[in-house]
Amino acid sequence: MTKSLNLIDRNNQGYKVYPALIKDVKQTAKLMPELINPLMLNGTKFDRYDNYEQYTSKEQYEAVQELISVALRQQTNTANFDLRIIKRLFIEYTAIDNSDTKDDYKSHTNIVDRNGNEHIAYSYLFTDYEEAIELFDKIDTLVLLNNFEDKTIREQAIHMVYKALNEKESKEDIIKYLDLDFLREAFKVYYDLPMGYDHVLLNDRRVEVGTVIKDEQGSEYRVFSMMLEHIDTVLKNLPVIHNEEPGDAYGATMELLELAFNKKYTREQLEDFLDVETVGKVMGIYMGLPVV
Amino acid sequence: MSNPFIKQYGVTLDDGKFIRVFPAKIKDLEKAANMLGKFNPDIGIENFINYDNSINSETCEAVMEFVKYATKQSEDDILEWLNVVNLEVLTNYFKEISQYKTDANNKGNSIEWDVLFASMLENTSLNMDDILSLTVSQLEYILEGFTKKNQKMEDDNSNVLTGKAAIEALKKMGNGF
Repeated sequence: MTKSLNLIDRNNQGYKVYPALIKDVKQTAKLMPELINPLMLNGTKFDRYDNYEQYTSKEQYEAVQELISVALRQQTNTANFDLRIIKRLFIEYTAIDNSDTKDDYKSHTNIVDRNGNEHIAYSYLFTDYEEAIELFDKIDTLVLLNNFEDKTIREQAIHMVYKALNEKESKEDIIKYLDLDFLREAFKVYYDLPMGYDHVLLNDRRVEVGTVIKDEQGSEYRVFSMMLEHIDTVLKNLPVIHNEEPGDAYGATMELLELAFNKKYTREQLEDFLDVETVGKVMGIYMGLPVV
Repeated sequence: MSNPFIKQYGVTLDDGKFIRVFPAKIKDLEKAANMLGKFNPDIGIENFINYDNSINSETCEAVMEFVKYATKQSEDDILEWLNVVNLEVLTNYFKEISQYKTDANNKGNSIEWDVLFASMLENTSLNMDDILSLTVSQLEYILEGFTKKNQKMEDDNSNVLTGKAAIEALKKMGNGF
């Protein structure tokens, strides 16, 4: 017996997805190129349907609406449909890459913050499409630190995390734990990456708190990425470390290292187990650079 | 093995609708292989859309020809239920019920159709047209019957006593000895 997929949105409302009827294929073929950009399918196997014509946001939005109504065979309030759930609907409807199971599909992802607390995150709601795309262009996925450095971008990055967490947490609460690792994870979930964003994805999804490093004796230490609330300290110390400004470069480095280890160790303890190579690695993790 | 002469093959769709599927007749095996070679049921809607996003009408026609053959339904009826997932289920099921099971289990050992047909013609009252109008599973069912019958005859023959054993048995029966 054939089985349909049941999509469950963020409000626990279920939707049964109907695969494309052969008689509807022509209509779907017309929709395909308009769906590539809004579903962020560039660079995937679905890219072959891109005809490189420019579609307006309105046209793309309407194409997605049409896809949803034809796949659900009803006019549906799509206010709770996010990118990830629509992508799954698209794959089920077209049966192009139908290797996934037909178990009920929920679109949320859990992200663990630096304190070990789990947060439920979602990709962007389709009703937020235009705003999400605008944010996407502004957030620096290559050098994550840049998102904290510039005040305007910082606010937008915080807003992106706020949206990814379904507006369930206040921005003030988010700032209390937001670090570069969490920002990266929230970004990946909000835009339902991976495709095409390998540089964002060099780290596996974080399942542990911090990143574990080992010293020469094999002892393990946890290193954390930079917290947003420490941006001023970082911006003060970085030019000194890079000899761009006068000052105590050693002291500046140690101050950042203390933060990288979440102030778990004193300077004396850090001096005992850190060598130059490890310092470089720790600073890389702290600055949110990919761990390779 | 259930009796393929009376069994109704088919698939049940998600909405509970039962679609009867008819296995290929032996005379149509090549035709069926040709039809199945014109599309790939595993790639869903990609079958039907060309690289310029136009509809691949050749595939559409091939799919429809195949589904009509496999279900014996009209095009209008088929269009009411045939979707990209049902096509995959239907095709796989059709292949499963149309192929020679023994061959499927012994990949690499091809069937000697000429020997098989000669044997059928020699041992039954069927003519060639009759044989070619059978499905593979029906043919297999008959061959299985032959095997069972031969086995039974061999078993019966092995019960006939000869020589000393026969004399001893007759003695026991006390028939004038």
